[in-house]
Amino acid sequence: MSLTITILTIRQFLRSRSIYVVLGISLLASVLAVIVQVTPGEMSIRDLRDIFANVLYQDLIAATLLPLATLVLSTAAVGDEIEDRTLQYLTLKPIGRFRIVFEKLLAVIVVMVPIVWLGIAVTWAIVAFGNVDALRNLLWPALASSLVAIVGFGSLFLLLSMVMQRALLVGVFYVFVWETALSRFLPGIRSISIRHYTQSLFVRLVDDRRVDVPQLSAQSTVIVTTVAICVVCVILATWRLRSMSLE
Amino acid sequence: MFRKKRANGDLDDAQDRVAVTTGMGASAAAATIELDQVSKWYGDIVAVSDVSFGIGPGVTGLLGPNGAGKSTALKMMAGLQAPSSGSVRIDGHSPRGNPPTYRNLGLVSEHEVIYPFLTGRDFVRLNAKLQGLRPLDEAVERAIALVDMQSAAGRKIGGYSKGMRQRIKVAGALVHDPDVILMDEPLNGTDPVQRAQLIRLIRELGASGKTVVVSSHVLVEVERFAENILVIVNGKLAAAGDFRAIREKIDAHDHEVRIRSSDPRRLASALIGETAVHAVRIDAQDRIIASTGDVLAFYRLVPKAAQRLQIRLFEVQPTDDSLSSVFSYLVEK
Repeated sequence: MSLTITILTIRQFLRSRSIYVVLGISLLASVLAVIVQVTPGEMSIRDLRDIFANVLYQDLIAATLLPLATLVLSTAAVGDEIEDRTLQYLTLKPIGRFRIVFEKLLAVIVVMVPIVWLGIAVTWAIVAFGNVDALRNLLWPALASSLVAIVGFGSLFLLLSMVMQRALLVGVFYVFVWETALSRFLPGIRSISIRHYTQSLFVRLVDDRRVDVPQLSAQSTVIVTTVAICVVCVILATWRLRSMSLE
Repeated sequence: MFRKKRANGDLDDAQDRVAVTTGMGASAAAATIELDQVSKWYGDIVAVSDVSFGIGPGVTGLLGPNGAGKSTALKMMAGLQAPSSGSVRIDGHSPRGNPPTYRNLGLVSEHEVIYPFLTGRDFVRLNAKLQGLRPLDEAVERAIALVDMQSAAGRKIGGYSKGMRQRIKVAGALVHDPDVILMDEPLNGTDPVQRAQLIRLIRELGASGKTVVVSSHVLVEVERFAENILVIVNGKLAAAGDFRAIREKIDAHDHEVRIRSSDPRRLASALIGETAVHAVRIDAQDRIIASTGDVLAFYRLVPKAAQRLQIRLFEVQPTDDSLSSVFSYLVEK
């Protein structure tokens, strides 16, 4: 496979305003980290670990910033092409609809990963400034678990942009109502939230009793569920693209 | 027979089905594109109404006023939209949900937007890659040369004029040398030289045995490249077949043409005395609205008069009202 559509989509992203929005959202936690660092008062290693792991990563990045940033890029991947009517340059070719969806999702992941990792790494570096060794084992679990959010939210929002016109608005509502509010307080909903699986993988990889999440899922459950979400969304998006009428 | 409410609110019965085949050696067996009892509606609005025809090799013009259903018909032929009822077949296969059909089909859409960050050559190369062509370079350069875009192919599409975008879209649609080519208003936005080049290309494609369908709302334009035409009015097939026979019917009625120029009053005065011109007036936007019974003679006359008087012409276009009334006449017949 030549990944022509992936490369085209990445070029589209790099020239769109969406990329700056995603970058801004990803670096928002770093701004808060700076505020924490410049606030007067001595903080213990334990406090710093708690601030990065529980407050900044689990409550802010995994719960809100990651889904929002992924939403912006995923809905642009196909949604923008439907809106400006360039999608027909892809659909009027002898290629399967699965390939179009798969390559679009791949482009989202390829662009999201370095931006999200940059945001997490900068946030971590600011919080860990002067205490790098004590916080070292929090960085890679955050980077690894963010992949769950990027793949899960990426495929979900890609599908969303193909089934409705106001995908961005509906996606924002979903992020704040379902992922940020309901899934945090209602136990039943927690297990069907991508945020929960992102946090579970982070907690499992950190392996520190002070870093926890209610109803912690096993690593295998996280991986199987993320793959299942991705596969189901790609299948549904492929079916949708087959039946879609294009202008 | 069904009844649907039209956009204008009237209730109208679908017309009797017209079964025709156009193109070289026009017979049902030779039809590359077949539409059988095809209708398309969006809610209460009927875009195409119970249309049946076949199109064989050669150039067929799809003629009708704006909003007549030409683009919808082309989109259904290309598989971009599914008919609400009836069937569309290209080489015996439905193009809808059947990607292999596109190995032999190219569409030049009416939409102007092309990836602005690509160069013209990149865009044609993208089309070639997605068609799975190997090797690429020869096919890409051949397609660019077909539309005479060699000198501008290295520039970003974002900086192209409308006419250049049209030509690079044509190159993208022809890069895989398809046998079935659908073009939706391909001459829109082109200057006279580009227009002449594209018309020559369309005629060459038809003469080489390809099935070419070109939609247009400009009568004199279609006459220059299509021997056969299908006239669509209000979603119905109003007339089909040899251009000259249909032309005779069309010419029986006056046409209105709108002219924008640097000196409308002087040009209007010059046109009044000509035999091809039945009436001339100047509208609120300082445009000449001329009525003519001989469109071809009129289109030859206007540039000559403008040149003689050293007046610049900005636009010479049939008015939409005129087109609708002329085409509606065919339906009434």
